[in-house]
Amino acid sequence: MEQTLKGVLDPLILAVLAEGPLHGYAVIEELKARSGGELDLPEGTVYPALHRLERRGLLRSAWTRAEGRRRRIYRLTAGGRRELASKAQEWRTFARVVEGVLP
Amino acid sequence: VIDELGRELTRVGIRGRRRDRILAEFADHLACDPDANLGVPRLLAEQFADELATDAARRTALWTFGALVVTAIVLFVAQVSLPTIPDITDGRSLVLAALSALAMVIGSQVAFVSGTLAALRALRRKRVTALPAEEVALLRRRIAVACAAGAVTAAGSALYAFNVWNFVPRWWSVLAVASAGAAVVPLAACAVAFARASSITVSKPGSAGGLSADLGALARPWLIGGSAVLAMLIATSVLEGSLVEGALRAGFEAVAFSACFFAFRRPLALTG
Repeated sequence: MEQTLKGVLDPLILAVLAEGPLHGYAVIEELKARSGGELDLPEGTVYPALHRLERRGLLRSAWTRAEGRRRRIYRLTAGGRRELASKAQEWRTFARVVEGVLP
Repeated sequence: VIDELGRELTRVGIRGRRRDRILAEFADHLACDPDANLGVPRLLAEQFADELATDAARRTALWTFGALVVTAIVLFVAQVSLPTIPDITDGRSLVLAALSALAMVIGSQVAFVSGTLAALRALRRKRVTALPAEEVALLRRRIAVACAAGAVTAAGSALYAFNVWNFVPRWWSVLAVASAGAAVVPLAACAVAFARASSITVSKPGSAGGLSADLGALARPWLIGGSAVLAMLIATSVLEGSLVEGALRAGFEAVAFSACFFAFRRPLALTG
């Protein structure tokens, strides 16, 4: 389960950020909430994914201040929205095919 | 955790603003939840490093190919604008003539092969998040050889202009030396990007793959070399109007190809 989730972590992060800008901790909390607690990866692994998505131009980020600390806020770009739509479609097709075969 | 992550990031070569940003984000995370399970700092730093180094190597490979195209155009324009080609004995010295010819002929071909293979590998692996350390090292070697060979070609062009300075129009000599200098600029920019990217250590295990990972079924070096020799034979025979001249140059091409192949077959993964 953990390996499968790792494989789809990027689109899951894009889906969470489609609702609005969030910082890293909030992204992880939202992932946990939406997965009913099933998504229980080491939380640090989300940050390399956030940085990777930003390098690909799917996210952009900026510093803000919260409670005296620096906080990096991530938001989806137009390219990120297109990528999310494409991945969601791909996943639905994949799920339909697998469900059609499994007993 | 933050201190250990900082040490691990430094160990893998992530420094400066990128390191500060990662640490600030993790510090903010721990401030939100002091009991958070962030993972093992060493593995996190290695994941950041593997992905950053992969991106940088791929990007620099494509930039290097673009820089070589610019270099080739600039040097080609300078060479074809020469009104009359002086005889090989007309220059200051035969040694300089031979050195410049070797630099231009061999340097350009090594740069072409190395730069093209680097770009091909980068494109073929464009969807891979993190390449194995061996493959990143291969990309880096191909980039380094391509940049160096491109610079050698430009130096050969400048040396040729210097050698025949008194036997060609002054404007052409100045143009040739200036174009050689201009041709080096994009390569130097790539070399700087390369040096920065190479400071990151990659940990992911795995093999680099050989020439078939770049060229698929076309990965037959001797067939490629034979084609180059045949092309040289036909082109020079037609252009010079002499089969003997064509055969001589094709022979030189065969020797040059063989020597370069044996010199670079391991560092540039020209087999397998």
